[in-house]
Amino acid sequence: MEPFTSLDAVAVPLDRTDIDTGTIFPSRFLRRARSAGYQDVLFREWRFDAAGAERPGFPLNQNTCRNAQILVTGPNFGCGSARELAVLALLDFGIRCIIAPSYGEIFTINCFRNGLLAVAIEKKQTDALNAEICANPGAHVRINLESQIVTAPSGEVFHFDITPSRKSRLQQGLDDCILAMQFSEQIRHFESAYFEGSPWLLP
Amino acid sequence: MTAARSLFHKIWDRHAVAPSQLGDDTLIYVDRCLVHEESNLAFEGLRLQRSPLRRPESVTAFVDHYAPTLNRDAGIAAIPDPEVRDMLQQIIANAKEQKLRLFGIDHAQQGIMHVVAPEMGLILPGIIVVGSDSHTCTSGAFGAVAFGVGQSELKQVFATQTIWRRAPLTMRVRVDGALPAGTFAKDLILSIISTIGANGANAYAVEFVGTGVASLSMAERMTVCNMSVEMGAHSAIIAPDDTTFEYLTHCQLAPHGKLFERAVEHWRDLRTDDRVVFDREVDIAARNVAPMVTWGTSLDDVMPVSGCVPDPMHVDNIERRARMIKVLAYMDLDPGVALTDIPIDIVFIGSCTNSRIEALRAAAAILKDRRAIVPAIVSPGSRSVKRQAKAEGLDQIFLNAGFEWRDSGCSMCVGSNGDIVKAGQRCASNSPRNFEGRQGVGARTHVMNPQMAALAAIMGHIADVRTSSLN
Ligand code: SF4
Repeated sequence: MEPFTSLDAVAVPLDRTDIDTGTIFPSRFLRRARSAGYQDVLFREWRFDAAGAERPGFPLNQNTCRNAQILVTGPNFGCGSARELAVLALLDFGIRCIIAPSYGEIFTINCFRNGLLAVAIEKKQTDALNAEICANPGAHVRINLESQIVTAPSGEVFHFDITPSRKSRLQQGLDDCILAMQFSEQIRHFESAYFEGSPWLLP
Repeated sequence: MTAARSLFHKIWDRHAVAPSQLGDDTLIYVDRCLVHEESNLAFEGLRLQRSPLRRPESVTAFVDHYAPTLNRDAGIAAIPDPEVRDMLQQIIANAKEQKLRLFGIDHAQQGIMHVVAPEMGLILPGIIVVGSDSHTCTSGAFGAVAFGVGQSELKQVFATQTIWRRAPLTMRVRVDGALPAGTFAKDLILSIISTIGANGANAYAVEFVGTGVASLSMAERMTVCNMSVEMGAHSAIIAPDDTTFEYLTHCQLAPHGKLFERAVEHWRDLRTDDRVVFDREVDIAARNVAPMVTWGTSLDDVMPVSGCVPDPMHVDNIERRARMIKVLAYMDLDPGVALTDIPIDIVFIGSCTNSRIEALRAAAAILKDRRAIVPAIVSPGSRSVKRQAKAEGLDQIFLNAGFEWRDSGCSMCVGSNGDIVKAGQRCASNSPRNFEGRQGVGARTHVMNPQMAALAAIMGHIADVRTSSLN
């Protein structure tokens, strides 16, 4: 996992609420192999028409936003199915940070496990940020993970919360699975006591 | 004296292996793990990291999302779409390689994972269940803590039998009284969602309690827990009771004999202590529940069937108004139209929410001696459900009514296997979700209970089962 410390990049606005993982990554592409990349699958039906041509009005299709690494969006982003490919499609497009008032829970976990920073700040703050980047297409937003701060193009700063574990794992690019494997001794101990107390759980 | 604890915390704490280095999350032990065709990245990740799958007996593989619902006997080779074939072959190969229990497409008990796992007895009170699917919360109906995980967390469960989590906030939803005639568990959970909001239980572990919950059958409890993820819940749980224990005595893979008795003794303690304070409490009177229908593309867009499509101009909040205008354009609905005047092009009865035998009986009760006037399909949740329905003669009722009597799988709930609703078509559906494009690109979904879906097939429009003159 690529470590995340700070970012100074173009932010693209997508001002809608309740964007579900099926909209981020439509199910008809779930069969595509990981190696083929998911860049073009991201927001597929909104970004492209049935013939595969770009819809000119869609924010991600604006020339000023093609190299955006930050997505500013509405509440409950990533609700719905557990599909982790939604996160991979965002990463494949180049997005490293999302800023929204709230997220689907499994989606947030999937983000952090893949090195994508999901920043949650208040709705009025995302509204202000959204208005600013809409008025200044291609404007940069800065993220500093160490100090937990988002800096708008205007210089206005927003503080965000993140758990210490998530923060340190992101900063170091640590894989949660490898971390857990270091507990194998404890897991073994736990298991023997656990199954002794609940023998009906053994196969 | 130990502090009063909720059912959720009793189970959670019992599964805590160790705190993380920084102490803000915990390594939680996982008892059972459910996977389907879209879990292949987790297997690939495991291979890449050269880890063995630690406890193959704890993982069960299902084919449901891509399972064909037609021409099943011809096997995988007969599936025309090579990509669908490939998805099925991958999960089968992975399951074989890792020596997992597999309910493949030719298995006598194949079906949707959230239907099959409970009916086989894989879900027991007090355990932690994860699945690579958001509706894993269905299994909370048994007094288990059950939730969906992504593929990287799944990989970790494969390798270590654990996941990193911090305990979520807790919410208690108390339902008292009995549901009125013509309403179902589906209407109860839709009413709860409309009270709490489609984001209202975000990251909460929800416990359902009260006389209105205790009186529900296991199938009804599963419907309620299943749709809890539609209000953002981390998990949903119902304390196990005699209804639960009785159900488990019929399940093939549940413990039997002395071991079962010992387990029940232990399970009886699985309840929230008196005086536990939840982070949020919600009260629902079951007698106020009406048959519910969605008119939009979020579960927030739900109302009693007697209502009319809302008017965006009556909404003060500018953003909500803008969203509603977009939603009504997608759904091709005009404000003020009575829900019962909305025509229906196709009907789907199935999905992990409503495809158990009880749902099929409810739908069949409406369809007996009547004919659908629009295309309609029914996909039983599992082959066991399908056999049971046949034994009761329900298959003939569906067939005589002009329904297609399909094989089991996710089918038109998500359309991954090719069972899609065409662009612009309007579907009366039993499934849990009405998101834009959920049943196919441009498809319009109206979520409702099984009887109302059956009734819509006969009438050709949405109708109220309590007031329809069916003659
Ligand atoms: S039936 Fe629908 S909601 Fe249930 S697991 Fe299948 S796709 Fe998901």
